Amino acid sequence: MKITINAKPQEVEPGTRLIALVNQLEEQVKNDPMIISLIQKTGKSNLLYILNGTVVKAEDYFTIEIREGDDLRYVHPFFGG
Amino acid sequence: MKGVWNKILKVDLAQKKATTEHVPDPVYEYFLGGEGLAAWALWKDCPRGTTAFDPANRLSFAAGPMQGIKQTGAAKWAVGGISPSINMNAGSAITHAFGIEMKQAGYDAVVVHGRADKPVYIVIDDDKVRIKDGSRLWGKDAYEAHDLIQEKEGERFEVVTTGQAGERLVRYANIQTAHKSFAGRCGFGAVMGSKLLKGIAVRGSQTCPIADPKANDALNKAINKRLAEVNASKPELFRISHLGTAMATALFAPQGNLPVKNYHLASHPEGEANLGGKSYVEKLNAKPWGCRYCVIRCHNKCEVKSGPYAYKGKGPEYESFAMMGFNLLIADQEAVAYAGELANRYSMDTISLGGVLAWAMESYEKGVLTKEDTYGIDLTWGNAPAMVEMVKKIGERAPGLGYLLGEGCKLASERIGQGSEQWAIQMKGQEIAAHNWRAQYISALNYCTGVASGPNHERGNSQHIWVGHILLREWGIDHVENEERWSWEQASDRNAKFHDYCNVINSAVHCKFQEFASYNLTDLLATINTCTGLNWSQEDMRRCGDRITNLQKLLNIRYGWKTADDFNYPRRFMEPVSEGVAAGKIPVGLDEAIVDYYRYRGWDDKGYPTAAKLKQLGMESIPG
Repeated sequence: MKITINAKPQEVEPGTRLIALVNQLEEQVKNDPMIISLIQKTGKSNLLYILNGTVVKAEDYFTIEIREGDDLRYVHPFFGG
Repeated sequence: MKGVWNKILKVDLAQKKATTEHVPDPVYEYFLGGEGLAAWALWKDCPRGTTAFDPANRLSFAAGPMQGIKQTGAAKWAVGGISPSINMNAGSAITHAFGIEMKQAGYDAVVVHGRADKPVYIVIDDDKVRIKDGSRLWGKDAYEAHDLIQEKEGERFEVVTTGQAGERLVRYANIQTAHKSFAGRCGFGAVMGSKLLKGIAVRGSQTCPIADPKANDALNKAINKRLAEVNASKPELFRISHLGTAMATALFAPQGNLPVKNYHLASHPEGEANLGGKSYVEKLNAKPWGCRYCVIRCHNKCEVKSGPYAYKGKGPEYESFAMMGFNLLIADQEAVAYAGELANRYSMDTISLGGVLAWAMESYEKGVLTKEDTYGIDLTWGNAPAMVEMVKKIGERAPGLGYLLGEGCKLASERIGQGSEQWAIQMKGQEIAAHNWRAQYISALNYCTGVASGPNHERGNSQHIWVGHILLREWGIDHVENEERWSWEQASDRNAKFHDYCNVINSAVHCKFQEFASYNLTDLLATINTCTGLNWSQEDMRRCGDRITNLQKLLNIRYGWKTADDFNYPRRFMEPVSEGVAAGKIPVGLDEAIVDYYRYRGWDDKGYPTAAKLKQLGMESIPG
């Protein structure tokens, strides 16, 4: 089924849970030096996941099932200046 | 078109006259508002040969289609004109509520020209416009003048002023509003000073109709809710309402992005320990100080309760800590905060001020300046009291070095000579902002090719691809690798998109810092469409940014830009640093990257827009 991840159309299998996408995205950024530094400081990447405009709590990653047309974005916790 | 009044207020200070002018729809369809509208005002009425302090310079205070809607970030507005620091057209963003009031008074922009015969301030109360005697305000600092105007006209008026540095034509004098926000870069405070204009007060009672109020209201609520949630969900260490932009010092240090000792070194551990972060809250007693409708609240009110640097007021931003702390090897947080507030009161941009002071300290270190030149002040690196004293000398334009440093480090180094031009870290006359070219080469390309405001970190904020992890996903920048920081691959595409993006957002007008809490191009487009009814696609929005960029470029050319200006960059960035992640990295290939960028934009190899490019954008003639 079709969804968008960070504004890019993607195909995922029906029944996919959010945790699977989270794991996939965290894998993609794991070598980023800022993520490494953040994990060192806080123990986690602190990426935030926004599903259809709502911030998802980490404890809900396992229970949420992705649906056709869902819009998923992630946000880094950083700030510029 | 909805979301605009199709009307600007033109104030001629020489003739003591205010008139309104109709602005046709195609102008907005091409350039949107804000900075785009300010650039258009120059294009229309400000001929070749006009300089910054010429009475003919048009100083625009401009809103966009977003001012008046209740969306986080929509309090931003724009200032534009010919800049005394770069001697070309430029723009600068500022926030709080002046832009909203101006829009509610019934104007998309207030465009000031001419020179008054004595100090004045302008009062705009809907359609009643008066030019009033400002003699008693002259000589006051920016905050004092602000308060006196409000005392006289009423607290409901939103006010902008400039301080003594603006009056005395410091080339990087800024414009402030509400004691908290500044059109910081490009010296527009000095343009006010040159016109003997001390301030403007505005109050409005009208609502500008937008295309789809119901959809806009729903959108605003959803965006405000989401961004507030994102902000609240961030760890305290990265929550901007908690630490302000000052938090960026801790983020940028490990990336090699900070300016240290006039961009000579890679790190300043004492600064990293003291400037920004937790001590910002603890030592400076920082409290969030939001702009109208903002859920992010990055500004802070601070207080140093005792000691030589006691003050209560605006807390320093990242750029102030970087340029007046790290760049001068100063780690005394209270001193930097106090000096920043002094600069605010005099009305001096802390980025340029930090760059100028770094040039002076390096000159002192090398014996080019001595105590005879510095009023006996020991301008050694890291000397916080000396830095504070020197800020006062520049703000006062004290005869001698204080006056000279008010000209900016380019002119100062040309006057002093002795090779000091080599450590004047500036381009086109403007000091470089606090993003290190060695940390991401795209910053070099951005600063060299910027057409909106010279070497500016917010008129093309492509450094945020890495330092803030901001991508323009809807425009195809959806993934980058860390190693690409030091590559020219795709740099032209990314740089062009960020320039165009900044032009859209500065013309809409909206606050770019909302990006860090998930605001994106889909949000921006939906908001523009519900305000204006233009029903744009992402491609249309990009084209609007492209048009504004090209208009700015045409203005650059009109006011004297030459190809060589883009290549005359500070050679210091070609000297590697020896530690940190950017050790050994220098932007070799920059000259070729600049030419590649020109070509990518559809400009010729000298950086001039081609006839074909202008035709493609429908800009064979400029509307209006």
